[in-house]
Amino acid sequence: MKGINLGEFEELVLLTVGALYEQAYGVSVMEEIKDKTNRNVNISAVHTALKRLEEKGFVESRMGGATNERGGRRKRYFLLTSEGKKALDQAQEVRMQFYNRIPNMSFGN
Amino acid sequence: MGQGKDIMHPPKWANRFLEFYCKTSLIEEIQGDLYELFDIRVEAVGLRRARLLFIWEVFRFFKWSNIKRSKKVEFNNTAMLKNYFKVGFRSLLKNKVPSFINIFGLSLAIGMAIVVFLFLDYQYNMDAYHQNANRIYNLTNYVQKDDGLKEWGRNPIPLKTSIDNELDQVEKSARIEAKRAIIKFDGQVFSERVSFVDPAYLEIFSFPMISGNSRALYKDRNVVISKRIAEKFFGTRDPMGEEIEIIFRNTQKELFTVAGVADKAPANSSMTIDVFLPFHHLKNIYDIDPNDWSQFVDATFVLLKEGASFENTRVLLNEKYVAIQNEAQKDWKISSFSGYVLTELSINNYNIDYSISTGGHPGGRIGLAVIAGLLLLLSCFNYMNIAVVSATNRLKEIGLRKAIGGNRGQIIRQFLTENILVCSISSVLGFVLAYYLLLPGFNSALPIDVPFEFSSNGLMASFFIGQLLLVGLISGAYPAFYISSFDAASIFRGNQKFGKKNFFSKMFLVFQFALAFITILGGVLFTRNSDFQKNLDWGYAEEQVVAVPIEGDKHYTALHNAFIENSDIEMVSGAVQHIGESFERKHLENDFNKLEVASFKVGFGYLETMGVEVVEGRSFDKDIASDKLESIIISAQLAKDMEWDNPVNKEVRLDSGKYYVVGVVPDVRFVSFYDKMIPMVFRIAHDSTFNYIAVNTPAQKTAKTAEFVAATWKTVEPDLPYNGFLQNEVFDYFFIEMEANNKLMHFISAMALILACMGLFGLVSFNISRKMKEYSIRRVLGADLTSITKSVNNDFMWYLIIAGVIGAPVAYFLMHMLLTNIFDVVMPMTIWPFVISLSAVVGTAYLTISSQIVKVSKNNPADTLRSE
Repeated sequence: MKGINLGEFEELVLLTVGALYEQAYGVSVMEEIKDKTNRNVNISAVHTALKRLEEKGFVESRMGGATNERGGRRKRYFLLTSEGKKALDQAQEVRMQFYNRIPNMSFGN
Repeated sequence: MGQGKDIMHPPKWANRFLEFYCKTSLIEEIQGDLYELFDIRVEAVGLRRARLLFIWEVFRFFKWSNIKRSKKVEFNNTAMLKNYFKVGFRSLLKNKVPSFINIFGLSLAIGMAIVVFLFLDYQYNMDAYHQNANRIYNLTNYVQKDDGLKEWGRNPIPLKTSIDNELDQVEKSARIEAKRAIIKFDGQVFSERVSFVDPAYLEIFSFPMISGNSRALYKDRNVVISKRIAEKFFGTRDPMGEEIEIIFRNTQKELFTVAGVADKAPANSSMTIDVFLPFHHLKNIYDIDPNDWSQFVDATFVLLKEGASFENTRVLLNEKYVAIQNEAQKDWKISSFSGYVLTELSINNYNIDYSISTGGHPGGRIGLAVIAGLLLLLSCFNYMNIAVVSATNRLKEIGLRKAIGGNRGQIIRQFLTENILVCSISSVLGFVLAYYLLLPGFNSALPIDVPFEFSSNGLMASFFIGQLLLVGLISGAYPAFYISSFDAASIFRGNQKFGKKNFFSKMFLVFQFALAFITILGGVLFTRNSDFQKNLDWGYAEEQVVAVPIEGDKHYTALHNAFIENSDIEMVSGAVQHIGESFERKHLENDFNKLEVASFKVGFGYLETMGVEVVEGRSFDKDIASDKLESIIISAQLAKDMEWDNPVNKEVRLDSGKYYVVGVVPDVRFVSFYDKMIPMVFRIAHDSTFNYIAVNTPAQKTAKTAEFVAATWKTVEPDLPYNGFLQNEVFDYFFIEMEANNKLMHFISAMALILACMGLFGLVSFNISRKMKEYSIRRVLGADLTSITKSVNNDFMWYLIIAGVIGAPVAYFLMHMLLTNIFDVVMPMTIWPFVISLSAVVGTAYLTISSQIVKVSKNNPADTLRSE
């Protein structure tokens, strides 16, 4: 099961890929994470995470068309797979289970 | 802004570095993302920071998973390999003669290498089959004498007992002392070697036993015999429990019960079982005190406990026992003890005097390995030469391969593949040759029996793989790199200058022929020297003498009286030391000189019986009373060494007695031709002390007389075996060994010549086929065969001459060193061996070339010139 588990950063990237839908590629994922979490992420870390997620089968990729930007280089777009969705659901579920067990009492406010 | 955009590029070098290392499959997304980020950052943080960040990111991406592993595009390697094999096989079949030369030459050399390797493997694994082999040590000791520090295998008798009592790290120990004795069973009488061994001997070693066990010798009257002895005395009967009689010193009879039979020892045994008796009998039979530190036994072995160090044991031995021994025997002081682990005993055997193990001088092993290596090298050179020259025929193929995109690496690989194909075939053939021809030949030529087996499968595998790689690379690397370096364009344009000035192949040829010349000259010199040794005069009438070892007091008178009755026997006499069999080393002196001499004590008439002529003075005379006491006859060499012009009546001292020279005899060959002759002296001894009786008979009657002598022996001494011999056979062991060496030398010379000629043949045939047009034009213009032969020969004869000039002095020097090292008298060097071997080399080379010129003469010039 080791290979299938999601790391914290991987989960974040996977969530971002899901959220960006069809517009997810290295830079956009990185920018999105930066925007939403205020974390300073390195592009090569994002690439590594995406590659790993693809190996695990949680995302799939395709090459985009050529553009004039980016020095003429194409983008690799990532898309959440059903398995990736399942993994996210599972992670979410585990989290909710624990979250719901937090006693509903006053936290001193 | 248009200009600004140009400036707003990421740093070029970083970009180039990215393109350099990045996998082609990843470059799109990585470079694209970096460019995009760069653009964003230029807006956000400015150009400078954006550039810095870009560089930073490029380095961040520089990791294993993103780096190109190999520059090459993936080829269909298996298909190409298949193609290489196919093309290689076709070219083998197409060029049948050179292929044959390559394969045959290589397989001969590989066969030789296999045999030599087996031999070395066998020698280095002597006695390794004993279970405890790496814990068994043979003790030796060093004794300082006049001629230097010598290592001896014989050790004091009490050493073993003391070790048992005092050294904790020794698990078991055992001695062995071999004697000759006569074994009698059921009317059969044979003289055999019998060994007194401590009972633990059989437990320390793991000799394979047919019956009985390793504890057999713990019982007093038990004896363990070898399979050979068992079959000799008992035939197919089971000898266990049978009682045999052993007669020691020809008189003392003892009864023993067979309690074990040892199987034939494995081939890699340096020690074997003959007849083993419990050690303690040595005391009462030979009257040897087992506590006497001045008495020695043949060998002492110790079995160390698991994990004990021999170094430690050795130090203890030196501390404890050197002093005791030195005290007991003042004229033979051991300076230190040492020893060898059993597995290394045989290869170190040559260091030890009186060793129980067997094993020759490492010179032979080194020599063989060097010869095998040289032969392998010769055949590799052949391959190189032929491969390089034959590439002419394949230039177009190489050009084509390059033109359609084959790179240099592929061409190299193609030629190496072909080479490995040749080497594999040769290895298989070499194996077959070694198994069926070379090893049996080797075994029959030399007095050894090397089995066709490797000490381990791992070793066998590594030998064959190593051999294949080594031969493959040595022979294949140069041609492959050379051929692959050609440029496709120049090949097709037809101006590839090639083969004309190939320095290497000419050098190889010279080297080959020099080697061939050296070995042939060596062979010729060796053979001629053997003939020379064979024809050396022994200095007496060895053809006319039959001799028998006897015990003077018991046999001499009876035999003498019986022999003189026979009309074929002209003279009978006896001797204590017999020429060719034994002598005593003594120091003879007068007031001016002290010389080492070989002393013979003989009977009256001995010199006459042996046919030793007295050239000066007179022989011993029965009627002169003083002859028995103080007359001495000397050899010519002694007179010369003493610088006596007139030796008769000169006085000398010997054995603390005074002697007067009465006669001089010529130098007589009393030791084999390996050993140095020293001056001889003859003195008179009494009949009862004789160890030999000799009879003189006409040379053509020796066989008949020998029969008569043997028959007479049976009647005089029915209890003892007859050990008589013809005098001219006393050095047979020497001639047999020399003959074996001769055979080996001839074989090696022949191999070298064959290999060199095959190389030459290959070169010439290619040269001729390349120059066929030239020869055709010459012939059309009226040249006859002689002039063409000349033009072919010119090229090669020079190399032969250079080879001869280099080879002759080297061969002379080497052989002179070898022969003077081995033999006492070496034949005088003449020019003839050089002429003979040079003409052998040149002659075979000429034949080789001529066979190719025939090809030219049969070829119709029109056929060659019409094409194109």
